[in-house]
Amino acid sequence: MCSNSGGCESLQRIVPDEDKTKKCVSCKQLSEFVLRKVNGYCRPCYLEACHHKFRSTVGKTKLMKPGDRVLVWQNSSLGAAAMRHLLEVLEKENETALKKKLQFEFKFALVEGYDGTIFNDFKIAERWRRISSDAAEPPQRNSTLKLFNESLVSQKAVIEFARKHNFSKVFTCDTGSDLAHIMLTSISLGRGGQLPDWTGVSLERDGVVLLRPLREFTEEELDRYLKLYSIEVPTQKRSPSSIQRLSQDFVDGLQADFPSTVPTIWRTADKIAADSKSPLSVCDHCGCFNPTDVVGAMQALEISAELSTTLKLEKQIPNRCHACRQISID
Amino acid sequence: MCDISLEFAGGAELLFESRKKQSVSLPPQDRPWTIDLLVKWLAKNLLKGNPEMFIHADGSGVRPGILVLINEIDWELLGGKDYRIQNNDSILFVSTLHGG
Amino acid sequence: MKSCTKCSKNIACLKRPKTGDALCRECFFDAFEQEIHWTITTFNLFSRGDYVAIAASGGKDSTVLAHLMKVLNDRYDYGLKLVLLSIDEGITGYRDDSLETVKRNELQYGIPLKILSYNDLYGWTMDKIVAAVGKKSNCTFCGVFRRQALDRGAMQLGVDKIVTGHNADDIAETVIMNVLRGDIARLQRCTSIVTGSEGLIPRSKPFKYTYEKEIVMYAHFKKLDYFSTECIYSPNAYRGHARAYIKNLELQDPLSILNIIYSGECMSLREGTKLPSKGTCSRCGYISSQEVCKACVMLEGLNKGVPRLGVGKTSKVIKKMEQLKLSEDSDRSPTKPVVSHSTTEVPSRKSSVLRETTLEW
Repeated sequence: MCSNSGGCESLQRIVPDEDKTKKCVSCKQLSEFVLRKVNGYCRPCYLEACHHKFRSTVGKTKLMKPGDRVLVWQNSSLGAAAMRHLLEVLEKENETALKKKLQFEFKFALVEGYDGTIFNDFKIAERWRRISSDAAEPPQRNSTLKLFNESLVSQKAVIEFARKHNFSKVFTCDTGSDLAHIMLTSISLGRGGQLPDWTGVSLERDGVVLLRPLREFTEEELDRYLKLYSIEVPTQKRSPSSIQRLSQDFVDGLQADFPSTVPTIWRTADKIAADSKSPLSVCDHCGCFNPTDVVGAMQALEISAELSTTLKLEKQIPNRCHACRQISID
Repeated sequence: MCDISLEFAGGAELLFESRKKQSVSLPPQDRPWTIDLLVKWLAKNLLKGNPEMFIHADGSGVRPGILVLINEIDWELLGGKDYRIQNNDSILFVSTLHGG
Repeated sequence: MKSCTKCSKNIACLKRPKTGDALCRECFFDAFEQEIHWTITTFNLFSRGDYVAIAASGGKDSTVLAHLMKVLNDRYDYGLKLVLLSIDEGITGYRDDSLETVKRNELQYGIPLKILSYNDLYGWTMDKIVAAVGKKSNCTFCGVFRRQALDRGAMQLGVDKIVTGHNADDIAETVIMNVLRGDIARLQRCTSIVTGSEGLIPRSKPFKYTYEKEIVMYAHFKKLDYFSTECIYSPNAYRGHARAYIKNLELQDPLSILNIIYSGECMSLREGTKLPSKGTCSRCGYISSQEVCKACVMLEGLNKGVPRLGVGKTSKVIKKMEQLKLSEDSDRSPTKPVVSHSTTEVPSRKSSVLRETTLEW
């Protein structure tokens, strides 16, 4: 018997309205392509919408100050390619007096391990070399933890690098689709109390602010953006078998049928905060909030462990959040 | 030759013509019989219904949500789908996916 | 063959998902029962003397729940009075078998049984609803009506508490569903072990931290009687995707299910986020964020021959209701009031259909 209280079919499969999709949603003229199954766009309107969204995502954080040095964290992803072009357009716009200026100094960096290389030029950033890492990663129990730890270490490295080279801001190239994957993975890892850090528009560590300007763009939207500028779209990288991979497949599968899935997920992320009743306890490893007074699942886990074995329980690693306790460190 | 007794419960029997218990003689083959091979063989020969409800989506092992007990022991303690079936083993497939 | 990690004597029969420990039958029963007892006492689910209705469907969760409630109530002297409450939705061939199971449970566990039908409560069976609405939206109807039916039934019986068999897998699935739907309000509530706002009977989930795998294993080894089938009306729905995701996560790392619940417990609303306000239905008094609750809207639609009234956007519903000029004096009253306020008079209805459900005790 289904024990659900309904809501199973609350999202009906989208059936595109032929008449609607033929018109551009902005200018109402003939559309050239369709996104999200239902929205028709013409080229100029769409590109304008993208540039506007990019500017406003950064602008509404109110975190950027004139003269800020911004490190743009690059890799070989679709988001990174789109970011390079969006910034190029932004720089050109700044040269004209008509548009509102976002006057910042942008440099591009590839950071791996704890070292990186800075590039000045948009073009040079497209050709990059692997930078070998000195820091040997301790082996993890499984690929989920390995992937997670790698991304955490990279983030720490970028922030450290930015700090050392006097950058006050870092732009990441995570798209809205990436963040939707990360949100589900985070929840499945027990990081529900840390969602603002992992999926929010900004994150602060050691005086450096990390921003996610592409978070309101789905992969489909950026793919279209690149194609309109005849830029080669980098092939999508998928993680090996892991929770990250399951989350990617799950979200992407739903997104294909229900194009509002990704936006709904990051909008939901915006409304969630950590349970702030407990005093500010921060995890040593990830630097995120470590809820210490939530009575529930963790205690249930302890009880199960007590009742299932006669071995003395290992002392809990102090100052680490539940999820980071699964990760082995040096 | 492998004579085994099969049992289906928790709704899994609905995929096997509602027969909760059956005895089966697995034909001899060059590879030893494992649970993985048994599941594939069952899907091919005895299953009446949607095989997706029984076999894992990637073709190997059972669909997540189906528990397997071998001689009343959790298959996870016995090597999972790679467990080598012995003569006279009793294998139970319990579905947790049906209503309750 | 592994030996039990607890007693080291017997052969282990089960690998526990939360911890990976291997337990023998006796130690598993012991741990399972003690953990439910821990949950009940730690979260103060009951008070001495409480009259508790156990939502009984004849399925695996409710049968194990009924068994456990009886065993623990006796063993630890909770001092509770128990009753099995079963809802008959009126689905031919489906409910019949599960109702037979529940009747057997009554005898097996020695807990009295009360069955209430949708026909008693609403004047409609699911079969008739599906005939009117079609198979696409019947889950919505069934879900809304079932949720209210349990509250209404419990109200009639005069119980203090309701317990349902929702397990850890169910709750994890609900967390994921609410994230996907962007339902912040539900997301906040769904990891609460006790739910039910003012005017409603509190309902709790003693199996909140209990994995479905262990419930099935417990029922199997204890040879408990239960019935399982796919609801003949359930589509291959959105919820099915979430369930598959959860099960795949469990394969990767069984702790995932508990992690999702933990995540839910750690989440709270960002300051300044607006939630829909909760009032009460103007027709039946059930809790509702709209003026008229979902069930009343749906019933009105069914009764007026506009069966899809309950399905779809609220704004359209309000418009349509105005069109239909719904008034308190409709010829077929939807629902009995749930909340009885001593100071509020129940508006008189012309209805001849509304029947008093009497208790046959």
